[in-house]
Amino acid sequence: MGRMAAVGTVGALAGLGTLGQGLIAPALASSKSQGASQKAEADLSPPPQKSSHVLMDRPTDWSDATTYNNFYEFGTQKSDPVRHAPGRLKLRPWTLTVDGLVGKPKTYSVDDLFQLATLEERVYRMRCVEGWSMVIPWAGYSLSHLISRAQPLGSAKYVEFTTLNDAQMMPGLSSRVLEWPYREGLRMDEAMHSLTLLTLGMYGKPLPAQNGGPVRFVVPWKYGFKSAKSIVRIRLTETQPVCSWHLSAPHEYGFYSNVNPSVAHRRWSQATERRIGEDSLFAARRPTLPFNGYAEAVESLYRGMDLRRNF
Amino acid sequence: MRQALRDRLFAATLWCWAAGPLVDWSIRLATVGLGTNPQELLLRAMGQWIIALLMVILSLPLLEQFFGLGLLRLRRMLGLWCFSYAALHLLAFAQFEHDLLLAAFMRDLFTRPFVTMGTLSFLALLALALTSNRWSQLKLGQNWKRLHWMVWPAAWLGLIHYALHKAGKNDFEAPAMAALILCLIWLLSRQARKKRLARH
Repeated sequence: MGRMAAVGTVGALAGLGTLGQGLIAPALASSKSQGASQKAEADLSPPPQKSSHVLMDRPTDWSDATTYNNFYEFGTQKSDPVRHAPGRLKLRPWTLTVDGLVGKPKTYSVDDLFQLATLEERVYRMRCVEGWSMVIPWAGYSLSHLISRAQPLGSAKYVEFTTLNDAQMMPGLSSRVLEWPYREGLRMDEAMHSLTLLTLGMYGKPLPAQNGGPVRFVVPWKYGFKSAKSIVRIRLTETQPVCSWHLSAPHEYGFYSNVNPSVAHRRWSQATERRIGEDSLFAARRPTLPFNGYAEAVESLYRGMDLRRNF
Repeated sequence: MRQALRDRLFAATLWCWAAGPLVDWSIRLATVGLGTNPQELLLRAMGQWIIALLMVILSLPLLEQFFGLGLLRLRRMLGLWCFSYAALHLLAFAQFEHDLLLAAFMRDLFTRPFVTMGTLSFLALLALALTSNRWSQLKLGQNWKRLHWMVWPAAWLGLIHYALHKAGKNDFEAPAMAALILCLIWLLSRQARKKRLARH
């Protein structure tokens, strides 16, 4: 064995040694500065109207909600989106196309979407499949407003959502973590449910890039990954859409992915959760509620279904 | 005399290096905090540090052959640090994920492969830590060496544990890199041993 090889090994080990610390520094560095600078963004005008969908829990801090995100198009670390999305992801011009099994397909600009219906503020609990939750005041309106305008055909049974797939704006697309573009899907009745929100803002401001700006949708009774970010297309279909996470690990991520404390995930028991920014280091975890606390409103959608099988 | 002083200084430096992350986390925790999800950050940082330490420990014989700094005498100290971090990692997992409920942890142990692998790796390290004293060395004789070869399976189990955890994100880059380094250390050590034997 040559001395070079030994030196190489030392180098590799030294690199690994700093791995531990390397993990912490970027997560901390990004969280305060960039979160704060974005706060300068102007408030939505007119401000979103108060709605009846307000959770009484304390909303998560803006600085946590905008710096701790899963948005793999910008990297797999939760500190990546705030570092790479703002500025790089051009939020205007942006179009969202509604097509597929509809009578009137149409492409909307973001400004069109802002005009389409009155923006409401809805404070939803947001539960990540990784076992943590936030409470976020979104601004938007029921997705049903947009879908009805397209005049869905009787044959439309599902809705497929597609996220932007632009390697220039999204450095994370170079990784093979998922099959791009990111796709998600809902059953038609889920998409038309009044709780399903076409989302254009949060905390009274336009939706930041790292949170899925300029437009996303939010389904509060499902795990967070179902609520696709930065969407460019909504397509009505007859067959169940192929969803990115389901495609990558079908036994772990079901099509429905309703928040369900009694169905465990391979890596995370879903029985409990940690509330971001609120629970101290040694605080007990909180019990996770069926359908993320929205059971009363959505239970009937799944009547007669075995939710253990259709997870 | 000067040699002894230098050895001590070297040992102390290495001790501080191994203790570094623990001090680092504690200071951050007490001052700026540990970010948005401190529990997650701590668990992951600990896990990565344990794997890094295991790799250093496994490459000590190799490094000793080339640099001859008396590194092998420091193996026990680094090994005990590694075990301490592993114990802390396990305890933190039990606290953060299960509020220290044994039943919840046991359920995980038998249903989640990544918990099973991590626990097995920890048990191997526990056995090594318990027999790391001179008394055990004398008592076990030749078997002591055989027993302490278990640091290899401990490292591989730890890596499988890491990879299984990363499977949640379909992101195998870091575990694959670590596996590659581990293979390299193993290959080089084997070659070095062969050479050594050939010389005798």
